[in-house]
Parts: sequence; C-alpha cells; structure tokens
Amino acid sequence: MDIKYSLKATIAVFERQLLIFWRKRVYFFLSLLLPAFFIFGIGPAVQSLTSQGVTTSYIASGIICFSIIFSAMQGPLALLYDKDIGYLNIELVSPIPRFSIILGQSLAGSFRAILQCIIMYSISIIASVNFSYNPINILGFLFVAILTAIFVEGLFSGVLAIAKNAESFSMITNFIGLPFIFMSNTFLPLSAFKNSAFFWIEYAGYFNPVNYSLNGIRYFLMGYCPGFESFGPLIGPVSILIIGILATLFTITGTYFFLRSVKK
Amino acid sequence: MAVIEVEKLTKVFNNGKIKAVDDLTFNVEEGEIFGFLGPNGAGKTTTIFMLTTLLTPTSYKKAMVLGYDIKQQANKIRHNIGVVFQEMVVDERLTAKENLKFHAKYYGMNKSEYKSRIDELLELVELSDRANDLVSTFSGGMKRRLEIARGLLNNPKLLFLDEMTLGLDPTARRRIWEYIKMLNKEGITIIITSHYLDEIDFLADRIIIINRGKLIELDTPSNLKKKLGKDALRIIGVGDIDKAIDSLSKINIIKKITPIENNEGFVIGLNIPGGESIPIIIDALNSINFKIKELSLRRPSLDDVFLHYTGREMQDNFINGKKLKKKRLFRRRH
Repeated sequence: MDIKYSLKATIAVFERQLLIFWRKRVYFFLSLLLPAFFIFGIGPAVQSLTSQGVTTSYIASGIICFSIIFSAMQGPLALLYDKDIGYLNIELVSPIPRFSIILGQSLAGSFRAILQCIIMYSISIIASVNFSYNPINILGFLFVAILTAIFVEGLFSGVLAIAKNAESFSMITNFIGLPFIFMSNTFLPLSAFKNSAFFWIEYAGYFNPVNYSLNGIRYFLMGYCPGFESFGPLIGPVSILIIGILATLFTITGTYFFLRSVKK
Repeated sequence: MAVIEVEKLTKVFNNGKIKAVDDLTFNVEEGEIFGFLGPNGAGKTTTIFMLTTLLTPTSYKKAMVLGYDIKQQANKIRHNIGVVFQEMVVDERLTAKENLKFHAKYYGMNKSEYKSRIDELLELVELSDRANDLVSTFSGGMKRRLEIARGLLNNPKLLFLDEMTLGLDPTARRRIWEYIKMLNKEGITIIITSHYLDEIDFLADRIIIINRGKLIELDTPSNLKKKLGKDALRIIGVGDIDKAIDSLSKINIIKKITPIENNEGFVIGLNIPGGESIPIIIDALNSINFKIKELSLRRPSLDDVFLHYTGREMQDNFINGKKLKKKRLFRRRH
C-alpha cells in the first residue's frame, strides 16, 4: 500500500468537506446560537441548584460536550449525501483507498468539533463561566473534543452503513444518541438519583461513554470530574484513555461496516 | 487486441433469486465504440458496474479489463478507466474546476499535473468560461460535459458511458455524440449503453444485445439490420390479434411476425421481401375484420432489430406498452 498516496487521498476528501463546510458556514454559526443561549440564559438560572453540585461551569461544559456529540452524530450524513447523489460511486471507481473516504470525513468532523469548541469556550469566558485559562488545559480540552468527535463519527458511520437511508439513520441516531446524553452527567448529576427509586441510573452511568467524554472535558476545564470523585484523582486521565480506546475501536468498526456496505 | 475479455460472467442478487447477468461472454476490441443494447432490467448497468469494479461478480471463467482481472486487480483497472454514470453526478456545491481538482487528487495527481490537464479538458468540453462558476448554475448538457471532462482526467484507455444522454435535449445529445466520436478518434476505446437506438446506431461500431442478463446477439449495426431481411412492415390496428397472426402465418413470403400490444391497439412487425406483398397482407387482415389504422414500410432500423431480438419495442418501457404472451412471439413461417 502506498502510504503517501493514501495520505494525499485522505486529505483530498477532508479538503472537499472543508470547502463545502465553508460554503455553508452560515448554518454552522446558526447551530451555535442555541448552545450560546443555554450558556448565557440557562447557566445563571441553575445557580439555585448549586447544592446538587451544579454550577455554571458544570452546565457550560455539559452543553459543550452535548454540542460536540450532536454535531458529530450528523457528520456521517455527508457520506449519506454523497451516496444518495451517486458521488460515492465516483470515488469508488477511482483508485482512492476506501478507508481514506471514512478517515477524511472523520477528520472534517474533528475540525468542526475543534472550531465549535473554541467558539463555545470563548462564549463561556464572555459569560463569566469559571473555566481554566491555562493553555495546556485548553489544548487538553480540544484533544478530548477531537477524540469524542472521532468516537461518535466512527460509531454513526457504522450505523449509517447499516441504516442505508436518511430516515432510518435519523431514527437510529435519536434512539441511540439521546438516551446516552440524557442519562449522563451532561446537564444534571446522576448522583441526584441516589436515594430515589431510580438509583440504578447512577450505576448505569458508569457504563455510559458520554460520561467519560464529560470527565475528560471537565478535568481540563474545571479541574475535577463531578459525579466520579469517588474514583480518585486518576479518573480524569483514565476517562480520556477510555474515550481514546472507544475512538479507535469505533473508527475501525465504522470503517469495516462502511467497507462492507460498499462492497456489493 | 481485446481490451475487455469476458467469459461466463454471472451476477445474481437476493441469494440467487435474481439473475441479473447470466453467463455473459463477449470481447471488446481496442479502439472501437462498443454499444450495449437491451430493455430496462436487461443487465446492462450491472455488467458495466462489474467491469468498472463497483460490483463483485458472482462467478466468471474469465473477466479481464485492459489485461487485469476485475476481482483480483481491481485497483489497476481503476487507474486506467474513466466512467460517466447514468445519473448526473457532479457536486453542485463546488465549481467546475473544484470538481475536477478533487477528482484529480483521488488519482494521486500533483498540482503541476492536474492544473494544465484541467484547463485543457475544460477547453475541450467548452466550459473554460464557466470554470469558476458553481455547478448548481449549469444546465444538464453542461453538467454532462463536465462529467466527460472528469472521466478523461486520468487519461483513460477505456471510457464507460452509461446512458449518458438520458434527459438531454436533442442539441445537447448531438454535441455529446460529437465528443464521443472525437475521443474515439484519439484512440480511446468507448463502451456505451443507451436507450436511444439512433444514438447506438450512429456511434457504435459493434453492438451487444442483452435481455434478462443473457447475450442475444453481437454484431455490427449494419449486419444486425441485414439479418432481418429486405423490408420491415409495421402495422398498427385493432381486432382479434390471434386471428390476425394465424391469417398472416399462412402467407409464405412473410419471414417473421412480431406482435406487441400498446395503448394504440396492436403493433405487428413483419419482415417481408418487398412492398409488392402489401396488398396480400391487407386482404388477409381485412378478411378477418382486423382494422388497420396505420401501415408503414421501410428498411429495417435498429428499432426493428431490437424488436426482433427482444420481442419489445424500445419505447415500450415508456408508454405502458404490454408485451404479449411469450407463445405469441416469434411465430415463424417456414
């Protein structure tokens, strides 16, 4: 296999997605309005829940993570669009390595995630959210954001290969994505369920990958991982490792299912 | 030298329930324009998809494109062919130049290589003045020309054009035909599939007629027409078709009777030695009260060839034409 050619082909796929993204940048910035509203509007309002461990930085980091996941969930739709208009066939009759198509798309998704994170972080700072200013922490936060975007894109690229059309894809993404987000520490700590009949939700949360992304982001931006303090000071790096493993695993499985779906 | 050598190529779908291509065997010689003809669902596109490495064949004895095996050496084939698909596939969010640039990159071309090549090709398809316009502003004909340019980017030895004039107006079609002839003159072997018989007749050096995945006939357009006899008589009328066929079958000079039903009534295609036999035919149909609405006599066209070999008219696919039962077809007068 010619590595130099594979790399060039991957960059070509990435570059095309980026160019399309730039042409449609208005939609991207519009998609940031809602999370910005949450950070400015809802963030201060939850101060009353501080007894539960909810602060503006807790909410803002949750919203940032939610935005990355939600945006990455939509990423494979670009692949579906190419498939629907027949562009994928044009790529497939060219000698481009098949994995370059998936990898290029994932890189474009990661780029969007970084841009999104930088903007959201800036909005949070303007809204007086108490996030770390340390450049190393900011780089660490962006690293977790990329891993999260790659993990989610890989997962849903596999889903796309199975779903085959936009309707099924939307249904499956909502069916998988939303419960994972809402049954996590994204907006409210699961420890709030501890003494209720739904105490199991807190334990189920330990198996929810979204919580590990949140841990990674909060570890760098807030300095601790709310809801996981009992696991000790290493939970932050361990969470990042878990997300890294998941990103690798799901990129491999996503690519596998994609390749299988195009090999007719 | 053969650029495509296919022997017993087969593709089945749905666990063997649908046999799209059935033991197909043919060769395509270097430098020719080779036409695929067949009704909808005949297996033309499936064959093209297998030859362009998009589909994996179910089985084959031999399937070589440009000397490479379509399954084992797919990537080598991809480097050396150009494809224009039935659907217009250009990214409308990009400009003409950008569409070509990304395609060139998929082939591993460097900027120095693709820059001049793109300018040259845009000039060839007369799109130089629209090079930096978004493709969403292009007409159907312009998009097709851009696709041809894209298909030629990698200097292919073999170009596949699948139903490429579908949906274009007559002027745009004629223009595309000129490009195809020009490219062929430059030494590119071209494989075309089309629904338009005049297109295949005008362009193709040789034609393969396939139906239900099987090879029906393979020859030059003129030889195929010659095989049908001197004249083709076409009668459109209403009445008892069974009686009409029985009556016509008794006339010795009729070589072949091909009846089909369409929304005008019945169309009966007859191969006869000359116009002097027409009064006998009219008398025969009048005697059984088969009302003749229209009658035409001409030299056999590719349409008659198609009707002869597939038992269908090409436009059947579009005017709700209904094929008659198989037993009524191909009644021969010995």
